Amino acid sequence: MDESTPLVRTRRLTHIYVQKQPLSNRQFTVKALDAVELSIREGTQLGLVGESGSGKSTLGLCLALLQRPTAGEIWFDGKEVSRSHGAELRQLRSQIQFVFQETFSALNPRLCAEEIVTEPMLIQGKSSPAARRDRAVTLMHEVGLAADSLRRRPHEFSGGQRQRLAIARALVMRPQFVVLDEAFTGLDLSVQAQIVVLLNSLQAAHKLTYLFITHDLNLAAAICNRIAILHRGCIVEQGSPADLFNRSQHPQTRALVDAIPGRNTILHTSLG
Amino acid sequence: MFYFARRLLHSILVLVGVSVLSFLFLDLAPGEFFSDMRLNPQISPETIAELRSQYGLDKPLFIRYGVWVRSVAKGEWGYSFAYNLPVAQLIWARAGNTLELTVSAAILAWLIAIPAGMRAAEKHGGTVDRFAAAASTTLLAIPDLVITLGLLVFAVRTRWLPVGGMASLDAASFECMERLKDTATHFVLPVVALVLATIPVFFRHVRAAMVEALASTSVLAARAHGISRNRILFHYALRTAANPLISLFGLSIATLLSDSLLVEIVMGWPGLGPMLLEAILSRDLYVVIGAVMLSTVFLVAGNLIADVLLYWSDPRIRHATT
Amino acid sequence: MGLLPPVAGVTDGAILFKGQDLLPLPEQEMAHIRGSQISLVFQDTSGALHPVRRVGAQLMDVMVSHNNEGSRDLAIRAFREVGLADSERIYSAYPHQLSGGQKQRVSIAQALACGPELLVADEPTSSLDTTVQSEILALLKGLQKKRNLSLVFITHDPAVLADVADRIAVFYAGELVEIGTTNDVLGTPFHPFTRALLACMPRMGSQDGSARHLNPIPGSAPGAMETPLGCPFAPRCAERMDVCNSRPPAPVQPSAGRSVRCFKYGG
Repeated sequence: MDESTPLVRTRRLTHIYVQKQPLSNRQFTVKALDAVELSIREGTQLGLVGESGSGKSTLGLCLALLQRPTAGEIWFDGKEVSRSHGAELRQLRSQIQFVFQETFSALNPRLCAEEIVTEPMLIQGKSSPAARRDRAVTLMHEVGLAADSLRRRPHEFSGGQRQRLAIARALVMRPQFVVLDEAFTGLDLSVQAQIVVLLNSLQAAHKLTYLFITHDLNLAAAICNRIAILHRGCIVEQGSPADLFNRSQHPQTRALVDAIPGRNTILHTSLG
Repeated sequence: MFYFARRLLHSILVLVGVSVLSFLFLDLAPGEFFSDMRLNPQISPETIAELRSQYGLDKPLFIRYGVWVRSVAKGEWGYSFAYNLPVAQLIWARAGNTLELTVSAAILAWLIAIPAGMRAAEKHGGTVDRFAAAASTTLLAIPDLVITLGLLVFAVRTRWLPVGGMASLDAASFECMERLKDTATHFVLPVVALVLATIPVFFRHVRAAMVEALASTSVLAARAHGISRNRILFHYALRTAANPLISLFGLSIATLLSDSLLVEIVMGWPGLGPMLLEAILSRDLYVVIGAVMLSTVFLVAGNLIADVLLYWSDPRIRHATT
Repeated sequence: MGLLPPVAGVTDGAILFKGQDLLPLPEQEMAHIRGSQISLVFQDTSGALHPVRRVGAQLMDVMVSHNNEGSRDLAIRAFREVGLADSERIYSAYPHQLSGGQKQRVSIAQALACGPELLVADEPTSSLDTTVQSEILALLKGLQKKRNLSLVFITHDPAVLADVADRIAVFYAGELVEIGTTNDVLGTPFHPFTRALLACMPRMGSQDGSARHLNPIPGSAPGAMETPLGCPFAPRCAERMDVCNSRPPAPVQPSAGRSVRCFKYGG
């Protein structure tokens, strides 16, 4: 693939939610995404920052092909994929993965760790139980979980460990592109740092491309080299963290920067 | 309001469906009202044929159904073969007796179950809770029939209460007060039987819902704000527990006519139960259909009432947009 | 506050509030203290409010329970004080009609309704967006000054404390490992855990976004059931010494107003 072509690109991506009130025939329309234009180069990570209701989760779901957008195009690896279905979609699923925020509900509580991690292999077919177990062991090792915890169920893991499990599952089909939706919310600082370091090493090892969705601009600035600010379904500003912090054009960006706690205190110098 | 219009339409469809199925099943059952009569050599086949055509039994099923629907639309629910009376008249009288029983039992059961459940939940694991749990398990495990028979045995042995029936044999000769007292004493055992049969389920649901409500974050927050225990119990915990209980209450209403079947038959209470049984056994067609339809109306009404109550009590359902 | 679940209990020590030990107090007296002298704001903004009752009524509940006059006007004024501009509408609203920030403001109004002297805020902004978080922090600071409140702010994010706190107490595995003024603890942390924790804070650093500055603490905190022999942080401590595994360190005062539990400073 040509170096300058981004791995993931959207063109005028729009999504409208239609909600029907059950007690009447009225309908609400909510424009979650409005002609969004994004591009992410291979091997890089884009931070998508926005408040609740800005549409960032919707964008993540669309990019991970978990939601078909109302209008617009999504280009992955040179092909337009927003309308794929069937075998083509199944193939894409192994290349684009999604890590959810709420680990407790994202992992099937009835399955043990090994089953959770290798479930995608099972669904895609063409793998033997031995091959699946080997892959599970390899992945557990890579994400820093003990191989002997393969038979444990999600509730027996801590929050940080569950997140590692979710990441392991995301990696099992060797994807190129991983979308992480608020993957760090609810984690302690030290656990958060561990996960960040883990994701960095995985990216280097597997040439992954990440989309980090978060409401925490500070965190995004620390782990991404490009950030896009989403406000009410529109991308209002994009750039490097330094650009956004020091030379921001948009009031929404300024508001997000100012809201970062500890900026005007003793921690200021270290927060940059 | 479209929501309720749709529910009403659903309910009507249910009623129609039940009526069709009832006709069908009764027709499929072997024999008919006049089968026994055929065995009697003294009644000639012509008489039977004439009776049959008088009652329209010689017509095919769907014509009979059509005729029935038409007369229902006019307010006439058919005739009883056995009693030779209009079905409506028969059913109203009996249904009234049944309702006396079931409504009283339901009120009593809820009046006991709610405070008991709340108390058990508040101090769950304590003596009241454990005793009540044991009692409800026992009651649930014992078949209703055994409970009812047990009560009858109790009546026979102690002679404190009359053994079955709704009135003493010479009740007609009693004056007003005496008749009232007579009915009341006959009333006690069937009501007790019904209450004992239904209370365990109510109690358990109240307790479970309250335990869950009391463990919720909002109750913890209310305690943290220093809100008084009574306020928390009634305005916070009970309000949260109300949703599943309202559904259960709807079920109570729905089964008002059908719950007491067993008790009525065993204790000889002249309600819908014994009449329905008799009518089924003798294939008294229109009585059966009438009674079943009335029960279904209650069923459907009970569910509808539960829905209305839920809608009114829970703003989240009212404001739901998804 | 005497709100521990039945499985937990305080086994030792005392909690002194205005000179009085709270632990032996019966439930009835504690219930009276809660809300009127010590109040609590929770992390769970949605769960803390009852879903089926109007928010105004819930505020009035608090007032009425402490035998204060509860009137609609008072409630509306309380809502306005916590920054809810549309206070008339909010009074009749249900919790699910409010945003996370609004719900937290309501909880704060409830907590302050009877004029407590101590407010405990347990991760009050952790579930909120950053912009809303900064608003709530500003609100708490303002209210604290205005009412001369004592505020205990519990959080896992030191950056938040930098804005809000005068003094910081650092806890690890159920023990107070360091305490001092904000500037001291954040500027020159003494305890290795504090230092390591601060090193985990994300900062806008390297341009390639690899977050090279992040130095996570290896391993994880001991579980509630584990009772380590020595210092609980020893297994993960980069500056561990032999003595650290033998017995738990006692608190020492390396400088005025600061206390640390670490063998590096004595103990």
